[in-house]
Amino acid sequence: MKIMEVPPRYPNFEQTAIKKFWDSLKEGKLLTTKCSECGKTEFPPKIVCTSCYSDKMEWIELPKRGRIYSFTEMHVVPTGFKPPLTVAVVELENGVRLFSYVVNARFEDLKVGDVVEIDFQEMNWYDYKKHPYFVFRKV
Amino acid sequence: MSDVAIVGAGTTKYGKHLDKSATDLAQLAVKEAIESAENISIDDFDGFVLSSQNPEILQKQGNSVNHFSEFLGIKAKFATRVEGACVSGSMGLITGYMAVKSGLVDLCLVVGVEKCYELPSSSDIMAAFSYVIDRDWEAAFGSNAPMGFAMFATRHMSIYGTKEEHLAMVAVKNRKFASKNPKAHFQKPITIEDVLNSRPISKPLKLLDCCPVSDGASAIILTRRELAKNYTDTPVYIKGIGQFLINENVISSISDLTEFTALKIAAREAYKRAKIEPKDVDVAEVHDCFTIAEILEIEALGFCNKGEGGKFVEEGETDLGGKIPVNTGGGLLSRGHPIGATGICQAGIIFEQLRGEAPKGRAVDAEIGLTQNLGGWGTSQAVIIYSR
Repeated sequence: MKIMEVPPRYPNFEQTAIKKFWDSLKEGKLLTTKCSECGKTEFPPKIVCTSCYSDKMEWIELPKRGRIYSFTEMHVVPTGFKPPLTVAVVELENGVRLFSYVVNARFEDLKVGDVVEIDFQEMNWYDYKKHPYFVFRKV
Repeated sequence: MSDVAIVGAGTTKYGKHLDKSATDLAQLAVKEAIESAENISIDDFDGFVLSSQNPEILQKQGNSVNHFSEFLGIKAKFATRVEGACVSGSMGLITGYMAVKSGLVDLCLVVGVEKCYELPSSSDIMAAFSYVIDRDWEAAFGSNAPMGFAMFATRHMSIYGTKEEHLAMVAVKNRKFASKNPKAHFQKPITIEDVLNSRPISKPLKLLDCCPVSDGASAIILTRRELAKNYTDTPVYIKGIGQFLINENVISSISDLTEFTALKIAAREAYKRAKIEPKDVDVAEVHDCFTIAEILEIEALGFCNKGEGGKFVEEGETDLGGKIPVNTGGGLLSRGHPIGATGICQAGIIFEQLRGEAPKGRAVDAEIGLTQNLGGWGTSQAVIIYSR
């Protein structure tokens, strides 16, 4: 038996009150929450607004395009991942920022301000858990 | 004048300690701290603060404050363990400071320790360190510490024209100081070319832009001002503290990736409490986990203007003889970074500087010193100001 020295981690997409976010990814939709009281949109989605503390949150669909705010290419990664991994923080057209992989570009191909589109990919954690997640594709 | 004094400090060498356990390291640091003061035995402590980031994963050991008390032989009226990733050490110092200042205890032992090389491979160690990163939105996708700081580097370089050479200059300077510090993890001097030619870790950061994973322990002894002279003729006083935590823990939540916003606020608070300005600081130990971090820190601490950190380093202003010598102990980059110990080691280096005990080649004639320690993506910050 192989002993894992460090317990592996994958997202909690089961026991969570924002399960709708994860379920919608299966339909190719990227959602987040917006506060119906104060209007604040934030990501990650939350069940209580971190500004006004209202629990009247509505689900909204996020824009499918944005620009690279910053990026890097990881060459040393934890157990269970294969380098290199190009990742970016992307600012969507409505100002919300997201973090994920850039799947079609290396570090040298990117610059701050480049336009990217949202795409979806099946993630596989340790051949144990699978779930679709959003990724970025340079336009 | 402050109410809390440092009267003793000790640290192990930082590095790979394959022949010592976490409790061995803690014992050695505490022994040195006790011996650096006069008239202190382990029974004299009535306060104990342990800073350790991750014994649960690294040693498979919980209940760490009890666990360490067994090996340190400590009994205390007030004992706690603090953890806030890489700022655990300064959180420990601030907790000890509050325990002394409130009158709860008279003599407080603050110990930081991390023992990382028990895990079998560097990718396992990285996986363990990734526990500090948000699981659902970052760590599940392979994120690690270099990733976040590389994001700051990319953005700072894009907006302000900071060059890879500027980052390299930070590493070279800190290694030069570490070459005079026998307790540093790495002591062999390096050149700009060495840094630029080292392998990529998280672009644009290269191996020598990154601090190592280290084993080590450090200890500080705190007491009330009125009691300080019982233990040393040359106490160092904590003149002011400033801490700030901002709710931007996920990298995509950080409002500005060209600065440490939380540090600007923590620094302002510390300067106000110490009744000084940035120009009054004679020597500083800052949290250079990555070269870019030191550049962002000298900007946020007000030693230079925003966006000009690279130029400030290039002009030698952070070296001996410059406006503000930074990381005269070698920094995390070269001294090493046993997570929970780092902030406590920084305090020990300032203690040594203000007592005039730093060796030639890294000694600064200093009356006021500062330490800055961070956790997360710089979104949890602590600044401590010290005086003779």
